[in-house]
Amino acid sequence: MDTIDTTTQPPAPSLARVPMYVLLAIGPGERHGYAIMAEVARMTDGAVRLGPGAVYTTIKRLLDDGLIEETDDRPDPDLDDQRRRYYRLTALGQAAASAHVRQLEAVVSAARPWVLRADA
Amino acid sequence: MSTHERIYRRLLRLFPAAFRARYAEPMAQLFADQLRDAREAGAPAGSLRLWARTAGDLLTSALSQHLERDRTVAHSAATVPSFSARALGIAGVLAGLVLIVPAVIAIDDVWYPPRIMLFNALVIALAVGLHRRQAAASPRLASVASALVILANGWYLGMVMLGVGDVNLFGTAIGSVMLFSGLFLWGAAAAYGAASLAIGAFSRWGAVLLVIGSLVGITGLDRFGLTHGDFGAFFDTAAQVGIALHGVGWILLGAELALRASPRGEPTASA
Repeated sequence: MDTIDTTTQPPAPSLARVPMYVLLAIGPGERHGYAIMAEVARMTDGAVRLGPGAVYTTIKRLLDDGLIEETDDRPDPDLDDQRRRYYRLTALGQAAASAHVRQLEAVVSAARPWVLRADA
Repeated sequence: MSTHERIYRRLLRLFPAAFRARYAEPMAQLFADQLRDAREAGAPAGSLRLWARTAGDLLTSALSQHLERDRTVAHSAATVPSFSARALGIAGVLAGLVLIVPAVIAIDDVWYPPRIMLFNALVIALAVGLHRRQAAASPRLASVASALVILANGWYLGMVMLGVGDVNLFGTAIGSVMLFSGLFLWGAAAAYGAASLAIGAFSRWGAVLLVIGSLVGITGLDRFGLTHGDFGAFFDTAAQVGIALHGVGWILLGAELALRASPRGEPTASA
């Protein structure tokens, strides 16, 4: 993956929960709708199960906001359905995902000690 | 394709046409994948549970897209529409005003023929103006709807202009040419409103009022006799309300065409 030069990038937009899940589910590669849905379910341990409507309305919003882009690259026709559409993060989308993960890490770092003590 | 998939594809019509054109196929594909997973998991009532989740997903996401479409249409107000769009939109506003003005001001019956001919001509002009923007989202549906409303108004205008009057083709209660023409006029307008709703190139209020107004207004056709029977007062009022709603529907569509440029991604009326 290309490194992100944050000095030349516009500020990463803050996103709602589902768009952020989709952004993180796409990750560094290219994914189609079904793979995104499955990855969101895996990442959230099955707590979030997106339907086709949620997946594609979110994809539309992320495309409109320039956070992801559709790719023309297709895997081997023998390995996948050619009607599927694949998406990948743009530089802005990578910046938004990175910013969100850093925020989550900061929250987790701050809360982990007392949560672990409380659980113990 | 399974029955489940066919039903799902039909339900995708809940989404605005522009969204459907782009995402209906991958959404149907994703639903088919989920259906396959549910069957392979072998859980009892797996398909039923999938449908329960899917129903909520469809309703919320379709609603969000309709709301987003309205926001997009509203945001496009910042852009000035073309001269021809403004002119044809104003024609639509005038068409609605010509139709509803007798509800506000008493007008002699002698003015009925020129008033209705003017209304028909202005609606035809508006339909031409609306067509380019609607066709950008759904060419076939827009063409059928526009053709219907132009034909219906052209037919009615021609009859009034030539003074054909109430010629009865078959000598029966339903043989009146004027009745057929009136039915076609109201029916075409209702169909046009429904098509506009489905296409989604304009905000929905004008289209909804056009559908409701046309279906209610149809009760006022003389040959039905509803306005002269035991419930004449009720049907007469209903017909007047229908005509007013019908007129306001055209006014809203005309005003939107005149005041708001095409939403992003669609050609302008002058293109």
